[in-house]
Amino acid sequence: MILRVDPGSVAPAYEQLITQLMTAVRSGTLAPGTRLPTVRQLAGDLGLATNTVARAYKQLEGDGFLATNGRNGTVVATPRAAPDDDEVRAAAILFVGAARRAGLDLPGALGAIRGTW
Amino acid sequence: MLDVARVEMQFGEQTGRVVLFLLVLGPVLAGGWYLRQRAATADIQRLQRLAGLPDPGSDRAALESRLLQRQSGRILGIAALLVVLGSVVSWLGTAMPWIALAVPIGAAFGAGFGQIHRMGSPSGPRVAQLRQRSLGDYVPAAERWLARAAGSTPGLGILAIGAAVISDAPVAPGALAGAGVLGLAIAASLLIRAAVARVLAAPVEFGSPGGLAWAEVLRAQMVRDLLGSGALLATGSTVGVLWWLNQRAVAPTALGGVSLGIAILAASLLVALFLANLADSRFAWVRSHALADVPT
Repeated sequence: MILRVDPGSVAPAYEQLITQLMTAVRSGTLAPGTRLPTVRQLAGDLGLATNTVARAYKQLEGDGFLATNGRNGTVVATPRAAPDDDEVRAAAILFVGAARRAGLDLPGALGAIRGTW
Repeated sequence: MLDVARVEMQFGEQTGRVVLFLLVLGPVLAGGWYLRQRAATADIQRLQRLAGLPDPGSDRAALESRLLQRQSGRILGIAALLVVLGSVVSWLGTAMPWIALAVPIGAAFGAGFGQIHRMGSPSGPRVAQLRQRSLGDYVPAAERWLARAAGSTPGLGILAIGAAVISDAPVAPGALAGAGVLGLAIAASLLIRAAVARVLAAPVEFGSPGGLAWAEVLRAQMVRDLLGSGALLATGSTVGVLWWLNQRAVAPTALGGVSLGIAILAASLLVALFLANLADSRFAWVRSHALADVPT
């Protein structure tokens, strides 16, 4: 899988990373157990500070998308069961509609959720 | 008072030959230095054809700069090793043909190390593969094994010399100096191993997915340059030292038969490594491993 970070985008690099990784895990492009590159390697390749990548990995670990596995480094976590809550699904549909009307893209919308969390 | 007109410089016959050799090769290297930009452009076309790589597009300038570094490193590597080997050959009074080793080893060593230097990051968007890099992604297993085996031949040489010394068998004078040279070859192998690790850790410095494919093929080439130079250095120094010791022996020594065996082993490993390298000259391995997820 190829990651792309655009320093000219309105979304910060950290959000761009999280969005792409989250999408890849959800879509199955990154299978559970897939080993991710080290923070240093990915930061070097993308021209980012190691703190930026470390923060994104930590956030995704907290959200259950990634897991740190001792000597194996960071791997894709086994997915949790999808939320089965009708109320959450309904709220998500409403939120996505509102975000689209406000002209937000996906990283922007996720940023709004994260800010509220 | 010293009459300058009557001063004569006297070189030994061997030193004179070495100096003559360096004087002949000097203009050739100077020509190579002058044409290195053209060689870098030709390198892009060659790699594009061999590995089926896409047009580098916006990364062309960075790519040319990287390949220019490779060409410069190659010429500087040959020049540096010619001077070093020329001095050794002249000092030891050994046979001239050994100096020719400077050309392949210096070229591979210089090309590999020349590219290690970082070029700086492009300012626009950046791409990266989401995979941890390992040597196995860039070099086929057979090549890795052969390079490791070739790298162990100086150790075998030292063991053979050590065994001969310990057993009080007749050993040619200079055996310990020979073992010292092989020790230096082992130290150089360790340096090359560290350089390979550094090449694997070096960040991708191109901005497009096409550039990413180029970066990984260049990385594979760099790693192969380094492994090849290490193997050449190890086997060349082993064969050279053992041959030199046998030449100096006034009577048949315990080393004779053993060194012939080691020399044959070293030469066979080198030939096998060369053939393995040739078998993957189109970079099929790196395309199916390091570039498995990158469209080329």
